[in-house]
Amino acid sequence: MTQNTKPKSPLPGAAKTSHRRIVPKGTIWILLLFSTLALCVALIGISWRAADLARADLQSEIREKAEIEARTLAEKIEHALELGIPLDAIVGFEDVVHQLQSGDPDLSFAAIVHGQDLLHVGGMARDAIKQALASDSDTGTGTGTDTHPNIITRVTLGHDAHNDHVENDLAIVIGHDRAALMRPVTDNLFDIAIIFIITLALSFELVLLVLTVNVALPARVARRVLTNVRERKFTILHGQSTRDEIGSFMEHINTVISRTAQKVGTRPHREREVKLIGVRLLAFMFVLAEELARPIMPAFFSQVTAPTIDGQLGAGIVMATHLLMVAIAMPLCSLFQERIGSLRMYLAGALLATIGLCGTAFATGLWDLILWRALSGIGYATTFVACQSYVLDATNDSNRTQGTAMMVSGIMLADICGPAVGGIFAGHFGDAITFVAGAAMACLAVALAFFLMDNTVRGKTSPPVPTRKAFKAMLGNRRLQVLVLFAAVPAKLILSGFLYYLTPLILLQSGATTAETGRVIMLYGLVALLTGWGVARWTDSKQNEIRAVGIGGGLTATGLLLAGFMPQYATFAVAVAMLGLAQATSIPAQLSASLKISADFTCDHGSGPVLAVLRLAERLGGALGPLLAAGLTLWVGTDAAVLCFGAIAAVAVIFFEIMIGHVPADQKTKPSVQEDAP
Amino acid sequence: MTHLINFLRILTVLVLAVTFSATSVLAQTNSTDPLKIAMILWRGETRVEDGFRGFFADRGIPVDLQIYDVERDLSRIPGIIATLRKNPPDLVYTWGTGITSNVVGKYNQVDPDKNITDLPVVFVMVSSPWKTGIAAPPGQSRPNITGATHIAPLPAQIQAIRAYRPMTKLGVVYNSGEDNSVSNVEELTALGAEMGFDVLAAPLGQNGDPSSSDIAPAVAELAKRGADILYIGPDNFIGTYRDALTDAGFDNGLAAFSATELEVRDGQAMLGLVSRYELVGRLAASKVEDILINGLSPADIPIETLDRFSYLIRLSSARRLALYPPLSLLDYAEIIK
Repeated sequence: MTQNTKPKSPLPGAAKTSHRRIVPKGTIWILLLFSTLALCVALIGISWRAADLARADLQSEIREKAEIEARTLAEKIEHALELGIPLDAIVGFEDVVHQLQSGDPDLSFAAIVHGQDLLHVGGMARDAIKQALASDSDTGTGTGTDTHPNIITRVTLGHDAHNDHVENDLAIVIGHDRAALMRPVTDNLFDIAIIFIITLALSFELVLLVLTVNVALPARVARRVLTNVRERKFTILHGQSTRDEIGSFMEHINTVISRTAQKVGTRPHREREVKLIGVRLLAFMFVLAEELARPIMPAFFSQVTAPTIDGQLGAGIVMATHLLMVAIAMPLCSLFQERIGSLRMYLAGALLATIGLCGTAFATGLWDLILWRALSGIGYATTFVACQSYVLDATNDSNRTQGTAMMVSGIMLADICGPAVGGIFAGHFGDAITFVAGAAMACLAVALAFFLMDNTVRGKTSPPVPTRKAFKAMLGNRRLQVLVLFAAVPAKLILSGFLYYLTPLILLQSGATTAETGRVIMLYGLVALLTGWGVARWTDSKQNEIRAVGIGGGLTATGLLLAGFMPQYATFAVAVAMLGLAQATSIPAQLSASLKISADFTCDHGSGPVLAVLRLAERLGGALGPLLAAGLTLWVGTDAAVLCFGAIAAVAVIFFEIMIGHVPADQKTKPSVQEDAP
Repeated sequence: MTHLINFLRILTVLVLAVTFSATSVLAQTNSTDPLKIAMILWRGETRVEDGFRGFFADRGIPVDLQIYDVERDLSRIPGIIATLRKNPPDLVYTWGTGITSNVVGKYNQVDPDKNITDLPVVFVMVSSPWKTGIAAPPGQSRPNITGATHIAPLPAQIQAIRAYRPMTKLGVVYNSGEDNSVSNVEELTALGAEMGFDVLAAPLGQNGDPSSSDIAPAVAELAKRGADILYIGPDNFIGTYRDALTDAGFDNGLAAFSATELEVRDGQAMLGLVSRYELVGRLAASKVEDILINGLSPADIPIETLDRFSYLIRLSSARRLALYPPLSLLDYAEIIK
């Protein structure tokens, strides 16, 4: 029997051959390879043709625009000539070209030409324009060939009267950068890339959840059960229930183990692992519910509050109320998280968010809108704290940073996807329906929380309320003070001040489009999302969260100083990406570090109060950021404000590194009591 | 007691009814009578008064305008005030800083014997009502006075000059006997520190009344000191002898910028950022309407200037100096050939 079921062992030589193969053997693989290649070839062909057609369309559009610009210039010159201003005495041609360039960045130059002579030029040096026109006329077309770097447009001046200088061959010539033809195509490529990445990320999220819950966790527990059996112990049963092959197979095994255990006189218990991955989807959902309507919030709030108060002011009040409620509710919820339990807290928060978002959709004026947004804010804060406490309860010192990073990744993904999806949604279905969609998402989160949050995770008994003395001792912990003052507060201050205030302001001022600015800001979330997990694993493996926090601060300071010294689009993109990496490194590590540093306190009174302090400090930093950025902008200008933020980051990380290592030895990390926690 | 209350109620209703009827009758009587306005003018009627008349004509409001022309002689004002006291109009309209200052006095030196205090006064063409004390300082008001000023803010004037050509030295010839001119030069000097230019001042009349023959030497001196352009502010003396100033400018290669319309439109100043006189007259007329028809107190009506100004370029002067306007200005400037 055993011989029949045992698979045939492959020959040693054959095994070696199969290891050397790059492509697996078999018809299915050949077909897959062939179809992939065919698809790639077809897509490349279609893309090539589409780009070609787009270029042709764009070329005609640019020609039309160029004709209009040249005609505008010609009319100005004709007007001046009609007024009797001599052609050679015309003043300010260069300024007019600069004005045109501010509306059309692809305009390279413009000139008034008389025969072969350039009478007035703008946009480029006289010699460079002369050279461009000479190379254009060499091609014989006079309109710029496909290889010429400029698209040249010429308009003859119609004025011919009463001015000796004016002859028939007087013309306005303008040149457009040929690279402009590819710009919309490359812009589309960026958009496609973003949608592609978002789709990949969403798919990854779902696949990760399904595989972890249905395959990875049951398989891991099954291995543990089977190892136990191999060691002739019959003490554990497979308790990670699934209704697939693994589930039914392990049910058979469980029956055998139970029977054998009865014979040997042991009582096996069911073994299962916590579905930590579920919190990632839950974090994603509650943030997505809020972020869906993010792009339409200012306009929608203005519209609703307009009958009562100035629209802009009304929107500001409503948004500030939401932030205020989050800031108040988050530390308060942290204090009670261990009493209430993650699941109950999440359910309550998601329910409040559902009511708040639904109410917002149908708000009729300022006052009820403030109420609904306040409810949403409390709901948001409650669900956030619930997810966080779930992670803390389900992890220990060896994997806490990874657990936090997992939750933060879910939030980051929602931050990236929410506004993009919500914008499209609002465009098709309207503002109110977008809020309803957010409410539906929060409602769905309530239902899913029952399946995805393990109620067994919660600690057995809620910790005692901290005494004033204990609380004071926790607040007096020098290392915690250093962490809060020089890491937590600056991190959020820089995030809100630099990323959400200064970056859009500077990029838009420097001529970047809204889409380009959005892409740079999106880089932050993308980098944080892609690097978060790896960085957290590294932090956990090294068990040195303090080092991770320091590295995060250093990365932030380097990026900001770079952007401050070279305030260009590319350097801002680099700085924002570095900020993403820095926050992914620092934020989860801050949480783990704060609990380790306050181990004396947390073992007696739980992690809630420590987290409340940390969250309050973060919110304070987040609120100060835009205020400081606005003040610095008014005082020293935007570029110098970025430098100031860089200097703040540098000073904070230097102080952090110096002071976190120079504290009394008795305040240094003690072995955590949660080491053996589930 | 109840009877007494009822009696008082009836009495109150009767008093209110009588008052209302009397007011209505009075208002009806007034609406058919023309508004009686005394206009005290500096040098006869200008386009400001055309705008003033036009405002009432457009609305079909009858006005009886009594014109008192001082013919550039302020000593005639006491006589005019005496005439007005004998036959009081509904409102007094004053033209320019000199006349207004003599008619209403400074806010802290009002003499009821010399100044009009019991009639509403609306002034026009006062460039600096606060600096000259015609208007009370911010936070205070004068019970019977409001008006319309005509000068664009000084920073806007400097920007207008710089839109035409670079300027770091501004030459100003002015009558040191006119309060508005003196305060204007002081403001320009202070502004120069902020906007990066020097004011080269050439005051006239420091030793007695100024003479038109003093203008040319003053301009030549400013040219020698490196002035980029001549500035003509709200100055009655320079306004009277504007051609002497602009001609001296031509001789020394200096263009002239004016803060008032007539120096460009009727004179030879090359450019100006100005209030259209007709619109200033209409703005003043709207204040008269508020006082006499809508029943507002002059103290509650703000002293204002127009919120839009005209950029004027006199091309003949530009041609004479070979200083042609930049192309971008041709889009919005009013070109006077």
